[in-house]
Amino acid sequence: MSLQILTAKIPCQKCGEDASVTNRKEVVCNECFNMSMRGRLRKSLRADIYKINSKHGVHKVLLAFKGDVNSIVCLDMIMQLVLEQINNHGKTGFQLLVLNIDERNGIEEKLQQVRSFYEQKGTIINYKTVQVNSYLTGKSLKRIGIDKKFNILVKDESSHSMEDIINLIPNKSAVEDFKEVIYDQILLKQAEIEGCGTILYCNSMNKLSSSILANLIKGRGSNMNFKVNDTEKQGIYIKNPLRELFDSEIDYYSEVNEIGQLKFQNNAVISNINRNMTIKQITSRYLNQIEANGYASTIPTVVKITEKLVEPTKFKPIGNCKICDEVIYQNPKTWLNKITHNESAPLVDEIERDYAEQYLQAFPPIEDQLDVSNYTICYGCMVSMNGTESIVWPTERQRDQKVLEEFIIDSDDDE
Amino acid sequence: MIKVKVEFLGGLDIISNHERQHKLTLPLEEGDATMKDVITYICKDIITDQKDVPVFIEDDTVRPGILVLINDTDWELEDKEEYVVESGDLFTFTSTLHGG
Amino acid sequence: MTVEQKKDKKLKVTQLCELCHGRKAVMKRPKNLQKLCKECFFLVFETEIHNTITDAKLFYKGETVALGASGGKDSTVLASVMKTLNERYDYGLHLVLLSIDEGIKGYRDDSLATVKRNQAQYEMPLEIVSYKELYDWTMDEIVACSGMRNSCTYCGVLRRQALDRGAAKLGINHVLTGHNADDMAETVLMNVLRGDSKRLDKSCTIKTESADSPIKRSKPFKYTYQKEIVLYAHYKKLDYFSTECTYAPESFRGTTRELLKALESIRPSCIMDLIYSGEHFELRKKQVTTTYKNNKKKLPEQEVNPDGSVSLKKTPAPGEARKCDKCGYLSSNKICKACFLLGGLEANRAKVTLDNNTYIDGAAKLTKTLEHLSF
Repeated sequence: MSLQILTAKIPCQKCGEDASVTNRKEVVCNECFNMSMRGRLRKSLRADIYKINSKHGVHKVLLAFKGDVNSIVCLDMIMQLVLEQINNHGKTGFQLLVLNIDERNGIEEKLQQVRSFYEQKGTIINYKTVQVNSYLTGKSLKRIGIDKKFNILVKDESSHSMEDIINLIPNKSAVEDFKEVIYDQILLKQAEIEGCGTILYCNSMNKLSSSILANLIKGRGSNMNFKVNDTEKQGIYIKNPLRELFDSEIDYYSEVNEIGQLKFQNNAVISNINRNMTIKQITSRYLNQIEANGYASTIPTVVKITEKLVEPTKFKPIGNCKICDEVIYQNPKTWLNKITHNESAPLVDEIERDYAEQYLQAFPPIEDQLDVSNYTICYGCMVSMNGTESIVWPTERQRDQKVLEEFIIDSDDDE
Repeated sequence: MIKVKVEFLGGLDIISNHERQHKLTLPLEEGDATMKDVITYICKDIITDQKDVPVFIEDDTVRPGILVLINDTDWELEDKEEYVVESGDLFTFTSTLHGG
Repeated sequence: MTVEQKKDKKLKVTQLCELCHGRKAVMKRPKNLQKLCKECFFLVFETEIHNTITDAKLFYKGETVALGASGGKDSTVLASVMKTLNERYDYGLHLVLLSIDEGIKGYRDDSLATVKRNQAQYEMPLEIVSYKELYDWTMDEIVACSGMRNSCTYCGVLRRQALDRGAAKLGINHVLTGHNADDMAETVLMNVLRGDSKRLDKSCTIKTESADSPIKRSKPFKYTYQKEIVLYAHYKKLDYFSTECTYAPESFRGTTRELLKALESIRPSCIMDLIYSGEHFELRKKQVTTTYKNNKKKLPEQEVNPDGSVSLKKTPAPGEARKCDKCGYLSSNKICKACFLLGGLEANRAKVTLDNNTYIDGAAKLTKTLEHLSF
């Protein structure tokens, strides 16, 4: 790890005061450390949008807040920008909305604590919590399965809460994968509802790199450029302003600025036994290990090479995934059928034919419970569905019908 | 006492002094012994150098990358560690990692 | 299981093959977790390779192709399956075994013996080319000179050209190698981890034709799992050699392999999933700058990629095949990759031979011992 806390008294290379750490081959004091870290964040934002009197007007920014140390540090760095603008100009060039997708009780209280922390410093934070169940709004539930020929089977399903839906997924890595899908889409929806032009994710370079590897491994490599690069989706900018910061720097920033207390404690202990881990936990452990073993540049390398990837042009997109809404380039059904042969070798004697008969008596071929549909599901979602008969998923209704139905729901809604 | 045979293939014989085949007598009664006991026995009595145990074991089970066959059947179809050992069984451990 | 045993021992229906339902399932496919009997496994294994071959249109009828043969499991299964498919589907191929002798004592000697047995078993002609005759260096000598750390790099570059030259010697311009899906997935991961922009978008190509080689290379096992290759060899009782190269793989590749194995234990399909991902890689086109044109001095020096290959900076004009200034072998650069790498070694050789003659014999062992002794 490149960051090291100094014990000897050495002057800061930038200002000459007593230095506190060696970081990225520079000896700096805490103040200069803060400045350089905030500088990296500001560089990653599209600066002019945040400026006072920007020609874009007052830009609304949604911060995807998870309550972990990354979120706290990202928020603090942005709040420093806000405070600076208020002190210098008496107003801010953008509006921040801190959004938390509520998975636990007591979040409201924690957010209140975050709010009063910055209130003492001179500004008010707007925050909003959204229930995971909001993902169901305006959608209809379907049971989705895949047959041996990789056809997508679908049937209408009665109502479930999102918690039920997730509990029905038997595999840890698939749960992790689908939760991310839900999370991303809720954020996009909320940005739309709140009129936000940008969504900020709080992923550090370490988090981004392990997420890149995990996505590749999950067969989601076709959308790498959208998944981790700063990009635009449905007219909304998606950014990772901490993309140039290491976890070690984030931890140190949190310590120096004494903001660790704002963290929502996450007590989940991650196992170190492969079979109890998720794909992302394994890739993250791997990157930490090789970083410690003299391959420190791997983490930035992974992020940088991914920044060079573009949307594939050798395949013509065939549509969007019914589950995660990502663009599909190479038809997974065709691809999987190409690499999988499913015919049996002939039975040769009476014994074998006798067994086959017993088998058919024990397991009579059942007509598929679900209907073959013309749904398209991306490869990544198909992989996550592997090993389970089917999953329940809220799908968008027909696009043209959607507007009408949402109108009806809205008018019936008590909210 | 259960008499079984163990084979190390695909280069895995390096953990047992380049001895590919081994006959073992497990000091257990038929019905009591599982594959887990066979693995423990191999680690204790067959692997010549205890430093080689991690070549064979990871996270308390056979290392990923080593293919295990019980009487020529993939152990994934035979309850893996829970398989109940019978006299005359053949256990084959093949490394899939060595040279292409 | 023999027929006698099958009659004796009653199978439970849950033990039966999921495709034919009439025989005992003996293996579980990593690809789709299907449980299959030996016969159905052989059939799907071979047919999938056939489908890969026809889908990618790997050869034309009557083509002569060389099979890279190392005596290891992948190349042994390659020879066996290619022979089977060539006869079953009437490809009309002429198959030749092509083997490289790297000059690694105690490793290659035994594996070449296996290849020679394969030659008889599969009734195919065999050609062996050695590093010594091509480059006047054995791997043992190279390691004595440059140490273990870069052994895979040197060996990789030299083997690639050696296969080409061996094929050219036989008048063949197509080499098949036993690279399997696991190798392919490992390459995808490695290229990302090392940020290798020169080969990232080519990580998953099944058939490569490069500017500096007149020889095409294909990988019919692109979609074939290592586990299934090992099982196929085992159940077919194929004669293969399986000792790891004396020179351990470089440590970084080793860590990638470990990562993949860990992932496979929780998600067996991850190998295929990585290949699917890798097939979509496309890099942003670089802006071509012309500033170098009038400033010859600034032309970058020949750069060696992380895997030891040398990137092609210029492509020769059509029809104008360049030759290496040093060895005269076809090359798109002034000096071919092999000569470039070996050039650096020449200076050291005299010294080493003079200093200590034992280095040459079993140099690997000696270097290994020395490395363990480091303080």
